[in-house]
Amino acid sequence: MELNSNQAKFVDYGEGPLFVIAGPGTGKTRALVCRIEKLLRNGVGGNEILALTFTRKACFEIKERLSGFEDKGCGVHTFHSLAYEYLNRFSDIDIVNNDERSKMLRNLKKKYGLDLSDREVSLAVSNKKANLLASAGGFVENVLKDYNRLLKQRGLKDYDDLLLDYLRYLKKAKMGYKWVLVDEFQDVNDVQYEILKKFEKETRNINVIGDPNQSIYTFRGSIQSVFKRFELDFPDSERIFFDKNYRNSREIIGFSSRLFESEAYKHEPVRQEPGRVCVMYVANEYAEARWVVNFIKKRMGGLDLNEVGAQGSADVGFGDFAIVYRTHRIGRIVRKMIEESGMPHQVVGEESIFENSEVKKVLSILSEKRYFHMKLGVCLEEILKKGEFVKKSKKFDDFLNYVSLYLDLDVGAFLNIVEDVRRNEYYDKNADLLTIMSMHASKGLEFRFVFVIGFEEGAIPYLKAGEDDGRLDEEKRLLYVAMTRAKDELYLMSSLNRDGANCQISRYYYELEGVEVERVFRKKSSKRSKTTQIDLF
Amino acid sequence: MKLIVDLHLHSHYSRATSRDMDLSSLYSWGKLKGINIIGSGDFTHPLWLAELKEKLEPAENGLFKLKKKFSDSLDRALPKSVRDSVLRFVLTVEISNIYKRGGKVRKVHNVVISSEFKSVDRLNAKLSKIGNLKSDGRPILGLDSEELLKIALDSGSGNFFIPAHIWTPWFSMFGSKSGFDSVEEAFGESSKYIYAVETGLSSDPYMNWRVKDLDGLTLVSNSDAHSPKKLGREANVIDCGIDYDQIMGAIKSGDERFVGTIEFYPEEGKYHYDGHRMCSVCMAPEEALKNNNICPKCGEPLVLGVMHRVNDLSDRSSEYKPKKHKSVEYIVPLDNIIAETLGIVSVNAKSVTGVYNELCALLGSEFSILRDVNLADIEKAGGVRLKEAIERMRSGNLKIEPGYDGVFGVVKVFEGKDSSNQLALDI
Repeated sequence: MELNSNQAKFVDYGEGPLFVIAGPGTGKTRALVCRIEKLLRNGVGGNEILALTFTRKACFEIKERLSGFEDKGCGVHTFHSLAYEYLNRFSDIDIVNNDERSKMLRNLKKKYGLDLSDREVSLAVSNKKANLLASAGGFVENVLKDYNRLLKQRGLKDYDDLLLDYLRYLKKAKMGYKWVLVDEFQDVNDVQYEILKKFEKETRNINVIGDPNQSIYTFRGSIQSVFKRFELDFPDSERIFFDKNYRNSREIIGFSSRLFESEAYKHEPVRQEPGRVCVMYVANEYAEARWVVNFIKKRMGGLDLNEVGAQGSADVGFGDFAIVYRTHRIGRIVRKMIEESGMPHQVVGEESIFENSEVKKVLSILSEKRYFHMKLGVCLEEILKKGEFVKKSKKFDDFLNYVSLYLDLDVGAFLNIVEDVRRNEYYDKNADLLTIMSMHASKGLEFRFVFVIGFEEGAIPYLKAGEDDGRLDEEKRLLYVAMTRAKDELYLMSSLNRDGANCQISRYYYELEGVEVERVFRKKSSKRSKTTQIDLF
Repeated sequence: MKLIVDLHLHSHYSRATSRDMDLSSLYSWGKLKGINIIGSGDFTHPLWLAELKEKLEPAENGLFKLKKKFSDSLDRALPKSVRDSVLRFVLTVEISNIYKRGGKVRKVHNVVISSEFKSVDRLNAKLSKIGNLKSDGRPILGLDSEELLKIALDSGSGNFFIPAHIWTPWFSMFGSKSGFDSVEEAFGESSKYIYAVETGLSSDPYMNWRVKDLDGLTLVSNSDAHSPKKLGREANVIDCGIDYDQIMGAIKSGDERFVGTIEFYPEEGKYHYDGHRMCSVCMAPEEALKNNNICPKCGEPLVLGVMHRVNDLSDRSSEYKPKKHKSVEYIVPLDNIIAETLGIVSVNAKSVTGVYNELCALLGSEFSILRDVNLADIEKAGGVRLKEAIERMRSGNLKIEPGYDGVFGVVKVFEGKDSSNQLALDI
């Protein structure tokens, strides 16, 4: 495929700072890869180019596409891997693992009597560390001081330390990069931004690329106005806007862009096939789930003999569908019904069974040497007999269920499988599976059909008491990310009743003027009155 | 010993399956029917597998038997005539593979057979990462059939793989709706590990012989039963020792140990001819072709049946018969015959069941009644009309109305009667 004029402008751009606004489906990664290839072809040394991304997944993707240039040793990194690789040259670095870190923070939370969730404490500490300028409430200072001391005592670093240490080195050392390219620039936090500015001492060729409308990580400390800041700090920077959208149908581009008032960045659809955006009114979360399950089965042309019919299309597979929600709680019923339907699916970002505390205890006992060559079934029985773990929980049941497949294996072999599964519990592009996930996890992915579940006040936007309008903007961007995952058809599912309470449609509905609306209600069944009678006795 | 082998069936953990499909029923009905080697079905389902592990014990190499404490009471309830027959279980499962290959969605059912629980555990461990094994005894996996074949063979040296009912339009290797045009297209380089294919209810060996692509593959037949009474409605006859490796060896090689198959009349299958169930339109493929495969009633494309598909893929005329071939024996289920003899429509009527049980007690298993017992004895036990019916069945002197678009075909032993069954279906 040819580059369009704006992509080509970016690829051919010469020296000096540059920022590129690249919305969903505008061919950002491809353009980035082309630019790196072009630089290499022009004789720039691989070690003079640094490409920074935010996830290991994105890193792999770029490396994979650059494979022809492997030998040039071009640096494709995440900020963390960059820092780690550099610092590790001087001394071995021990990174605190998640369990240990949580334990430390939990203890400190107790010590200071904080009425916050573990997650909130963890984020606050990390944000305080990473955002040099931010001033958080007093409690964080104390917790952070103690926490840093604990880390130091044990000779450990956390991920924020890596970046801070790297930044410190940058004050003195030269890295030799002549070209620095940053992907997903909207997700950059203060420390990362400072790192970029330090590179400026060596080169003015700093190219950032991203989409301000997809900034959804300010809760993790990314700077909401980072593009503005970049323009202030690099006043001579050029700006390029990728205006052609190759992913979404015209309808999806049209409606999703209505969420933003500014007309400055209008995407032009490339695809000509008609698509659909539809708000579906359903009675409750069960009706919602049922509708989604039936929709999928129908589009697939039926999954067993009782369902076959002519309506399906020959090229629709499980991998073409995604169910997206704001919080995992909203997705509970739909997950259950999908599970019961037997459709192969993956829940991305779901809390893994292996993160359950009882499960962890069992696994840590199993990893004792003496069990290694014994049969899993025998060992488990022995461990469970002692009884101290058997706090009944759904997760632990899930674990036992999972384990039942492996009872005849050696413990060692089983632990290998667990390790493998743990490592692979992320979105797997190659599996033909229906995907269920949170809006946050959906970033960067695309599907032909997307269902946004819980398009209701209280769920979208999802605000906690006392949160301000800044968060509201982020909620809107989050919805934008979710909507633009859909290539062909997008269904915004709005339930009249959820968890027994009446709901109102999301406020964002009123911004989607002219959107198609459908109501799915079944006639009240007469069975209902029969079942309620039983309660009288 | 000539063994009757039925490998493909389902437990009550599969969708749309009778609650009675448990181990006791498989055991008792297996003996009543005269099956010797019966598939367990559904071994990927955790609860069914747990039950199999609990109630079965190893018997001859690679085969299992129901533990004595469970079989004793069942045997006591069976007629003496079938009580002492051999019945062994073999671990099997059917998997529904739904995936994209070559830009199209494919829906292909496959049967995997295994000789030991260890291999089953290994296979399940791998598959549980790919899909959901808990909610259906016949799990749906978004996995390429070729991948499944590789995983199945990797999980145990004794494992065996057979594409299921290869002609059904919706869910099979050659299915007109979402299948392939050749074994190679479906299984790529791994097609060399396909040694046998299941012909399914709607096709018989005669139809399959016409397709060159299937030359050299063993044509097997199984019941795909969802309820106990349907066990053994198709089966294989294999002349070998009671031993997993010998049975699979016979299927794999198709040598003289594999005697042949016992067949449902293919016309009786739900997808033999072309048609529209809703429009009560049923056509032979030639007739459908004249109509451009369009339904004359509603104008929509017809659901093309197995016969049509065979015509499309065949290289040989419909009269073709290889010089040397396996035996092909057609049967009509005994309860159908009894119902017709009694002039009763429902095969589930009490009177039919009564006669069925009586005949089995007097003469032996259903297979022996249909195939072996001499006609004089049948007349003595069941009367002259029954004798005549079985005689007609054995000689193929029947009236057959083909099935189409999900409607079972109707086979009548006594000709000349009006086809009241078919009429009822049409309404």
